[in-house]
Amino acid sequence: MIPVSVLTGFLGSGKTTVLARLLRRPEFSRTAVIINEFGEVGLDHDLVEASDESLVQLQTGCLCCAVRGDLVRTLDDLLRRREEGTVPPFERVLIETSGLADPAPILQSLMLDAALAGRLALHGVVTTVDAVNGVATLRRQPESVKQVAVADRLLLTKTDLADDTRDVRMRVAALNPSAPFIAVTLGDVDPELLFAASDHDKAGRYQEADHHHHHAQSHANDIAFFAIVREEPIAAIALTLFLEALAEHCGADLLRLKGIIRVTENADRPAVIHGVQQVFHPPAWLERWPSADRTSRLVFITRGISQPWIEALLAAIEAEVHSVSGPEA
Amino acid sequence: MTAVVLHRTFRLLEESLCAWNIAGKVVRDDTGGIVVTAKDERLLVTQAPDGVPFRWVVTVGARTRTAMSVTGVLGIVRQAIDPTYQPLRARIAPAPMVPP
Repeated sequence: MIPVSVLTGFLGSGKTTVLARLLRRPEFSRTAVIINEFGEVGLDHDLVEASDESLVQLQTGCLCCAVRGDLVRTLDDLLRRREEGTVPPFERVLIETSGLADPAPILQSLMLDAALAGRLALHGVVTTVDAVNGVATLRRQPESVKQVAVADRLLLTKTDLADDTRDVRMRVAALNPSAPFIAVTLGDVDPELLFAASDHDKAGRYQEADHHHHHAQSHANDIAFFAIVREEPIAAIALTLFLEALAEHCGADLLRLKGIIRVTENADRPAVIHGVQQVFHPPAWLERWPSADRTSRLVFITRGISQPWIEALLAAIEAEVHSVSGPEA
Repeated sequence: MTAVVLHRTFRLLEESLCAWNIAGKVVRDDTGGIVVTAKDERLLVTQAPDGVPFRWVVTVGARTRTAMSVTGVLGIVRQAIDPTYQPLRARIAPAPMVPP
């Protein structure tokens, strides 16, 4: 499957500068880039130069609103043309959202659409944060909070213009303590740091999140980050009931769920799950555990949903499933 | 059903009132049932008797409803006491949880 990365960040936070630099790197060739701009007249695509092996396509309108269906059509069309050989055989897709976009519906589209299923895989979300204006933006703009909360990688841009980045780092770390922070000057960043995440890497990050931020909670904007760890495997039916209940009761307040799960029925192959709001990606099964750690780890980014409630929900479901299927039944 | 299941369901309902910002209380009654009192409603959650095709019975006022799982109980309780709750209209089909 072709990996899709989403580059997001608030207006003026340096997304296009990063993209323009990335596209000049030979390691980043063979990339199809979809640039989304809010407004009738696009400009960003004129600001980037791509090699002959890459492809840049522009969409106008806001991806998370009216153009959401267009994104699916654009991706579907790109894949068809790739198969026909009428566009370069790109090996990855990068979507640059408009600065006003709520990334959650975009991630949902990528995970949910049947036309794209089996051909594209969501690889990660990279969010740019302006070192100069970031704190004020996060205070005033709820979209920017969501952009930070769902990120897998955070790029702190314009660090050459900021005297002190401690405030913005603290603010961003409070919203999303699990995402690595990469400082960027003039948009220059190693593509490997952004887009080389593998399942192994993700699993490592879940572990890191567990070790360092197991009980991390942020009350800023009601966004909370926490992890749930299970030593014992989780029965498939319990996991299904749990995800259904989360979708039912949390809805849009479940900003993101990522997890590596040891499922009872197949404990040797970890299942990787992703969820955004009510939508859950079908689990991806890794061939093997990436390390000796075989605990199930679920990382939540939520708004107004407490960790104790989620812990109690999973505990109650597991007890019931065990009582029905276990030796006590 | 084991005592562990009833205890964890009790804990879940307690946490749920907090999570939903609903004033009320959750207590165990003499028969082992769980009583939820909130928003002028009194709900009794009990385990179903043997031999019936469901596991839980939830009594809301004069009405009796049944549930197959603790997640079903949760939905019934919330529907009764949380006026802001809007159950999903679309059913989310669970993805297969075992490898292909």
